[in-house]
Amino acid sequence: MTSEFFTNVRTAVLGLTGLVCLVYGGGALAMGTPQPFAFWLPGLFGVASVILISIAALAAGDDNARRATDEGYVADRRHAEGFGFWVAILLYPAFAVPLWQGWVSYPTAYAAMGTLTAAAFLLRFVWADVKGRL
Amino acid sequence: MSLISHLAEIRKAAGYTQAQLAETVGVSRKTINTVENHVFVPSTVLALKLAAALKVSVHDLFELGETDR
Repeated sequence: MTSEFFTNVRTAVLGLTGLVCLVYGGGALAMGTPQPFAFWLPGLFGVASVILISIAALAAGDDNARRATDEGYVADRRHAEGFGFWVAILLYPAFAVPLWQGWVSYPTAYAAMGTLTAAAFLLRFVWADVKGRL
Repeated sequence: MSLISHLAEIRKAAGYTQAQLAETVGVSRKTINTVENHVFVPSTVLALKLAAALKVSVHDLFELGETDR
C-alpha cells in the first residue's frame, strides 16, 4: 500500500464520519429530537475510522505512514483543530436564544452541538486534504 | 508571509514528477503540490531537503515576496 492510497483511505473514512456527524446534528435540530437516528452511529463510525486507519497505516508500512503524516498533514490538522475549536465556542452563543426561548430542548442542543463540533473538525480537515491534492 | 516558490519549474527541469520528488524527500505528494501552489510554506528542513534533492540552492527554490523584503 502506497502513501497516496493510505491517505485516500484516511480521507474517505474521516469524510464519511464527518458527514454522519453533520447529518446527525442537522437531523437533531430539524426533527427536534436528540436522537434523529441510532445514537451510536456517529460513535461507531468514529471507532471504525480509527480501526481502518490503523490497519491502513500498518499495511502501508512505516515510511509510507510517515510520509502521509508529514508537516503538510500536521498543518492541515492544526487548521482543522482551530476551526473545530471556534465552531465549538460559537455554538454556545448560537444556541443561547433558542434554548432561552424554548425552541430547542437541552438534550437536543447537546446532541447537535457535540456532533456539529466533530463534523466541523473532520470536514475541515478532509476539505483541506482534498483541496491540497488537486 | 509571502513566499515565491520556483519549485515547480525547477522540479520539472530536473525531470521529477511530484510523486517522485515527494518520495525522495520523504513527504506526501500533497505537500509538494501545496508548496508549488503557494498554499503551504515548508519548514527550513524540508526546504533544505528539496534543494539537496534538486541539486540547487534554497535561494533558487524560494524567495521572499515583495511585501516581506
